[in-house]
Amino acid sequence: MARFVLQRLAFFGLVLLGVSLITFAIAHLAPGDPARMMAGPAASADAVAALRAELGLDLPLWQQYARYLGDLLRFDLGTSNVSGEPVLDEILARAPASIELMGSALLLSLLVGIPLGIGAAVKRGGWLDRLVSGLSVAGISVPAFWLGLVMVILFYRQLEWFPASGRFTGEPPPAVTGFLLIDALIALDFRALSAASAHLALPVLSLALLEAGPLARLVRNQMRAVLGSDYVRMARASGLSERTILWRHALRNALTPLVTLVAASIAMMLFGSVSLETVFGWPGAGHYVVQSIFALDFPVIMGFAVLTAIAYVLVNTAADITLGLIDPRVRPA
Amino acid sequence: MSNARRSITIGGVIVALIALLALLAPLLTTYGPNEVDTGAILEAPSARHFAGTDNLGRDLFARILYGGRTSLGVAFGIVAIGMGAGALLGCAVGLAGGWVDRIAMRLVDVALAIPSLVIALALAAAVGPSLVNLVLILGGLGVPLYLRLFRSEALSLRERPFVLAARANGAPAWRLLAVHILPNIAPLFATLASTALGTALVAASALSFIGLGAQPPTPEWGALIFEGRNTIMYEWWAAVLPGLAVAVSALGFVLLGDGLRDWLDPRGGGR
Repeated sequence: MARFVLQRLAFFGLVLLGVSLITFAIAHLAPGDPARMMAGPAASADAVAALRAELGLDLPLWQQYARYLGDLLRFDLGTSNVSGEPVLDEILARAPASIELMGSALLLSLLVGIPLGIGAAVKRGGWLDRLVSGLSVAGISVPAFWLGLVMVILFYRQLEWFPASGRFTGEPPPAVTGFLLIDALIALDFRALSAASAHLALPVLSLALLEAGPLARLVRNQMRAVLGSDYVRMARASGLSERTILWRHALRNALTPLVTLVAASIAMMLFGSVSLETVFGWPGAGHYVVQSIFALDFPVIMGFAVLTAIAYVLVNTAADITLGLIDPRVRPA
Repeated sequence: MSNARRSITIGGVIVALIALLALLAPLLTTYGPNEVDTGAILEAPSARHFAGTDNLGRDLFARILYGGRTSLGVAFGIVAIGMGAGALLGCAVGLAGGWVDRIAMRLVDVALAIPSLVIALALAAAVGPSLVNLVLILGGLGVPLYLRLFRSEALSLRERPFVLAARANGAPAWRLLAVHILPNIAPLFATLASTALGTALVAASALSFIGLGAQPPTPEWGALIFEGRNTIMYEWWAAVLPGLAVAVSALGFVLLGDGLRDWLDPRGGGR
């Protein structure tokens, strides 16, 4: 077991090295001379050269990479060209909004997707089965940001049920965690809770609807494989009720691969939320990176890529290790 | 009709229709996609303008039709590059075996553990947004996945009697690849390509929507959704129709891919 965890951690290190190499290469492709950009158009050639030396831009490439890696390890992602603030602070300040959005969407898609998948597996070819097939194809084909726009048109423009922009209106609850739902609960401020939920409704629904289909499909396929297995046949032959078989024997084995799929969903959401946050004017990291794309604020774009890549690799490694802990079958002998 | 046959029929009809609409765009509308008419700004759909006009008086129906040419072309480019290179490299690596295979697979493992769309975003911003760059980037980032899939296909083909016979007869590696392996991966290629076209359409439209693909005034579905978004309160269809085009086309490709897969391998689990 310890060997398995060590293996995963070594791979984690390797992937992070890959991420740093790729982002370093991309940063080099970015147009413009960073020293000239920082010094400003009025600076003399000498001043720019001095700044270039200070930034290490005159060093051989491998030394520049070493410096870059050193900065990354100290969580130094540079400063934003627009605000002059450290990129890490700028992104972390907006992270709770993004995590609240993605976390709620993930929770909702699991709450919808798992029961749907179980129902579809139990009655093959039934209407639930067909619904899951349809939802899973739609989940791949429909762009999340477009579904968001359709939701805005339906539920804001036409019905006026939910707000279409921003994260909150009115007096926010005292900031404790940065997550408005949790902060509102802590403060027992139910007006704030309902305001935060109303703003979450449309973007969360757009993301969750599209994630629930593929999730349900995986649960269905896993469940079917388990229900057709020898030990389930054995349980049936021993006269156990279908309900016991389903809930006690089948479900546990069918749901373990979900850990991996949840990690994959998070990757999809990391990207999907970028355009979706833009649609809803959501004050999260995704919306911020789109603004930075239009403002040509490269340190922020690169910082966002590095941070999301690291977050994704971290989630995946955690998922792999968790899966190994709860399911000995996936551990290499 | 079996499920596979139904998926192939429905998917195929959708794909054929969408492709025809895009190809025949000049015959289906008399307006150019970038034809500005300041006398007809933000018009509602009518007999003259089937989908109304945008804030510059451009005919939205024409922009969506011509946008299909761009979007479908981009998706084809992405899949051709990603799967073309992936299939070729995957088969070569699978045939070669040994340390080449081990190193390549280790690299693929690392590449697949990195979220490619986020890298695509950073890369597109760094090299400058354009459609050509978008195709190159999304195509290139697809290579590791297809390399792995086609490698395992090549590994299983390598042990088949007709390949073993050719090897025993002393056929050189390039001949094995060109004559025996590549023609036999065609069914898998077609299946994967169809699904990949669907996902490429969605990914490319998302990147265009955030300004990293088609630049104005080029008509492209993602960019059209972005343009329509600004006028969503007056004319909701300007953003909805191009998105519907993306969703329906992607649905067609994905259904076709699913159907082909089930048809070629009836034992596999359906969607």
